[in-house]
Amino acid sequence: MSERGTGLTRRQWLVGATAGSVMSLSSARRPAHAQAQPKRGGILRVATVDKPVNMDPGYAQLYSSLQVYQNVFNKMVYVDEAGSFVPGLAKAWKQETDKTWLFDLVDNAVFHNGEPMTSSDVVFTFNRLMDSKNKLPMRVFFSPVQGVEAVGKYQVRFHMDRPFGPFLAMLSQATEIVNEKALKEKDPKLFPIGTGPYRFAEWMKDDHVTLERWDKYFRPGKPYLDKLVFYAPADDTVRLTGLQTGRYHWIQTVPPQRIPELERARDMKASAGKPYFPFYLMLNSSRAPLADKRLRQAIAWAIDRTEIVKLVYYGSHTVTAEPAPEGPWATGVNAHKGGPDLAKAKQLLADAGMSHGLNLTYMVKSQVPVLVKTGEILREQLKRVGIALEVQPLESGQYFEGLVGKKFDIAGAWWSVTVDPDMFYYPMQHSSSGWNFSGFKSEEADKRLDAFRFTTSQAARKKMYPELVRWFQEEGSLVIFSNEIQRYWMKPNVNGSVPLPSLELRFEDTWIG
Amino acid sequence: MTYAARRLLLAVPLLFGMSLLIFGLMRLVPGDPAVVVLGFKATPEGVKALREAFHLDEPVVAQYLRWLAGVVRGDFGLDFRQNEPIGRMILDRLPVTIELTLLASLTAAVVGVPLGLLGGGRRGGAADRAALAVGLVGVSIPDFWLGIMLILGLSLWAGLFPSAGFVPLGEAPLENLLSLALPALTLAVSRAAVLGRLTRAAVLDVVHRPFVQYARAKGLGEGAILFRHVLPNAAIPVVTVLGLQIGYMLGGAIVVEMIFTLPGVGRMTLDAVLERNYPVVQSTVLVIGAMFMFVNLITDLLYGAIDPRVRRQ
Repeated sequence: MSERGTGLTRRQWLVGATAGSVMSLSSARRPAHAQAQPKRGGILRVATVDKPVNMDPGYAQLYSSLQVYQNVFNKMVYVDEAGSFVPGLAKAWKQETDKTWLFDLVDNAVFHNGEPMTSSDVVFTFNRLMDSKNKLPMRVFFSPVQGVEAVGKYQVRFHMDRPFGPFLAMLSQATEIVNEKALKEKDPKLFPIGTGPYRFAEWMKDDHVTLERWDKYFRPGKPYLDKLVFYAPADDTVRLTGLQTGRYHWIQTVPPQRIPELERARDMKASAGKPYFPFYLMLNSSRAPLADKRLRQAIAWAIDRTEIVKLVYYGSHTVTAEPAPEGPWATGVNAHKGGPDLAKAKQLLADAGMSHGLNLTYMVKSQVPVLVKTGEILREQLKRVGIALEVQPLESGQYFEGLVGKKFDIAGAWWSVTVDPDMFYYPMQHSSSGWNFSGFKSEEADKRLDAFRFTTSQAARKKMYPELVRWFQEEGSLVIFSNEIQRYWMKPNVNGSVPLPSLELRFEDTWIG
Repeated sequence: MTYAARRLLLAVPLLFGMSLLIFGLMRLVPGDPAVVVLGFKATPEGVKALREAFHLDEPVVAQYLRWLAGVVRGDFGLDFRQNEPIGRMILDRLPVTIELTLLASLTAAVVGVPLGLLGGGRRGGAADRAALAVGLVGVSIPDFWLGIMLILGLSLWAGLFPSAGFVPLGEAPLENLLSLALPALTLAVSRAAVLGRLTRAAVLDVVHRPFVQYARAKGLGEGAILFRHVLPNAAIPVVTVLGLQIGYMLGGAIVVEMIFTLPGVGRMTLDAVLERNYPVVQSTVLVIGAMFMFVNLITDLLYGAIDPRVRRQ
């Protein structure tokens, strides 16, 4: 990121001196704190959407678990509201060669078991992650990492087998630093021990997780809160009522139809909204009929994204055709600009020999009612061009089995990793990826995705990205129709909570006025 | 004692049959647990590895025997999601469900039984009509709607009770009671209505019997007649239904636990079913079944305590 702003080459320090970095970090966050001086103390009761299940960051099993333990651990690098990489446990870093990165670590971080954090912890974390015997699912994201070497007590060097463009993005996503001794002392799935701003205190299953301020946190004065308690009521309305009654101070996701009314409410406020969560359709390209690109294109031209967002998502989504419509990776590219174009869609259907009509299925997870409703709107929209769509809401197990087995024509889905678009396109569209549920295989796609992934110059990657977006839009195996706006709702006296592109709930800067 | 021992022995084959049934039913439900656990991260390789880890690649009979052997030793196994011992998971959640069940049953009995007595004792009177109306309304209100209304009314507007969550009894007794007040009330209303109607019918059946008329002729007051002579004779069906209600609630008042986000057995079972968490569902259902049998046994033993004729038989 610094390359862009300062003109430094990639062989120079990317972040530069620690002081400068910290200053840029604090200035980036200033608007959220500008109104008052942060206060220390208080208990913040947070209500998230789902309950955590596993506190071991090696598994990164569910977003609901990540939301909690990301406050217990620290990563080496973070991403800020603007999408820039900022220091975590690494106070500075530089890319030495195409295949090596050097990181300077902070020297005052202490694990919650009293162990000081050093380079050996970073080496241990990555060795654990990369060791195939451990079968940690996050390993796949770091496949180009060959090894990590401790250069000094507070310095580590990463060796890659290929240049790796989204390396910093990957570090900002899923590499909480763990301590070997802590992992051996207690089951990390149940008792997380990190260097983060809060230490784990209690986990009452299916009810709450309590975290307490870590007084030896490496950032002086932080965090502000005494305690952080995570709850996970399963229902939007229960969460909202909890905020209104004061049971919770901060909640995630409210019923979309109530947003206009809640924006006027005096007993709560909302954070800024950021479109960080792409919703899309997967068109099964591995089998007939949608193996035919013209039919995928016909669907892309027949869809009215604006209507879907208006009727299903109210104001909670933004209309878009790309995974990251805001921030450093926004392109504004839309190969179907001006759509819906029913004449064009009908022509494409006729070209594919389907002018007499086409029957398709839309598979959706029944526990996500908005995507079921999306299917219903889609059915009406596709009817206009002669496509009969059968909406099939399936229970979770059947839905994911359908995805893995590619037993669908169209599937409604969402994806949460958008710090670097490589994390969206590569797993979903590369022929070698196990997550390529739409079954799209193309040498050209692999060539483009490899080029985007294995180029380390961010400027070069930025240059090739819009064309990548357009190319995939034209291929039509993924049709992005909206992006969920991340927005948090809280009591008026809660400050310093903003949505981040990584979707982390980082309560380090949060305080109660 | 012989009767109780015989009933307990009978429970063994019943539980065995139940374990076979639930094991088989779970295998018939579509959806691979490994795929559910991995979700969007499900790759063919990941699914294969997880199936091996869960022993799902073994023949179904071998899976059943492995699980049953563990249960006999008191080891319910580990859950698929977080490798947590299932026995501990159930023990963590049982106190919430038991407390909720007891509170709801107590409330239902305290409200429902006097309501039925009052109505049955003075059939056709104002009290009877009022009791009938209250009973009808109570039976007709679904738990999910009543729960939400109580949250809106007593929590959001009146601010008297917390809208969700649970505080353990040992931690803060008053807060514990407050946190369970609305869920218990939600459960109690329909159950009180059922008990009220049942008590009324049972009282009507007894109130015209000769021994009641004799008591009245003796000059006993209506209250004494109702409580000392009518109620014990009308109690058998009431106790039966109360026992059944307790059994069902111990199985988990799923809707109420979801609405009030209570960490009870019902919520855990529902999540486990949705996640295809086979060992959790199997073990929980088995424990619930055992509790149901135990409650029924207690109910049967209570018959003898209430009615000496049953004891003599």
